[in-house]
Amino acid sequence: MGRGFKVRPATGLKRHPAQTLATYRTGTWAWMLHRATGLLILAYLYFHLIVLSSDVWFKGSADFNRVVGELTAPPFILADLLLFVLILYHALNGIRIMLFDLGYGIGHQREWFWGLMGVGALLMVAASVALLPLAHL
Amino acid sequence: MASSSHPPASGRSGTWPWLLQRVSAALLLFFVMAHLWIEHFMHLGARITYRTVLERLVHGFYVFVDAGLLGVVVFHGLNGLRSVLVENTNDPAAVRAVTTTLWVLGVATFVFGMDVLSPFLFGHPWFRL
Ligand code: HEM
Repeated sequence: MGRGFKVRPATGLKRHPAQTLATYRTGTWAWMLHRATGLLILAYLYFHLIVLSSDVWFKGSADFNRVVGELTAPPFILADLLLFVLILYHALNGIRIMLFDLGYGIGHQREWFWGLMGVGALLMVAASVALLPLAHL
Repeated sequence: MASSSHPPASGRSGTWPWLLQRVSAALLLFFVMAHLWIEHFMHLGARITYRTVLERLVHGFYVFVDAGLLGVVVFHGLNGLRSVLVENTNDPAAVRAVTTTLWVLGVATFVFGMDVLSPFLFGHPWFRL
């Protein structure tokens, strides 16, 4: 499975950073962003579970409505949309990665990348149009 | 930094974790989209309340989406974190320590997440401080 990727030597020797940049370009940024978004969403997952559990653990379920109701305030809607950006990027770039693993689109990685980012932009416009009018204090 | 999109040549970081990362990613395409659609878009403008969640979770399909998402996302996220952590390690003991720690964390996270669902599924929370 060569496909033009450079594989880290089994000895664990690290390549010089300049070598890496010269090799990857768009793909380097795509990969770094994939990692960053994956880790950020993982961090958000814990935040998400803790916020939802706080009712159950500390206050009893009666306060669920108040806490969840507050989450439609404008800052939270904006945070939701930002989270969508992270998830959409990670998911769409993930599709690209898996397609290449299956052998599709080799040699057209950049086109696939920007094509999928276009899809993501359209989905973000749709999500914003749907959600922003719902923001209220 | 080998492209982490490439199945590792030596067994250290594992072909199975690599493959399962892709299987879980494919499953997440369904679970994450279903989750976002259900919570944010399906009933645009309607408030989410304790009652609406309770009524929704009477149906097995929604329980499947919530619990399935929880299990798969915890695996995918922590398996991804694992691949970042062991990327530059060739010491089997260190890799094993990371793997074990993340499994413990993962099981704990799954139980914690199920506890969040528990009042809706079982009528009372599993744990309470
Ligand atoms: C929505 C569907 C998703 C898809 C299609 C997807 C796809 C992928 C793929 C294919 C990889 C492997 C990348 C590689 O080996 O180079 C990956 C890595 C990763 N994913 Fe996801 N993912 C999704 C959702 C998530 C979510 C919700 C989280 C957070 C909880 C997450 C966290 C991670 C992390 C931390 C990595 C490791 C990053 C790295 O190795 O650099 N992913 N994802």
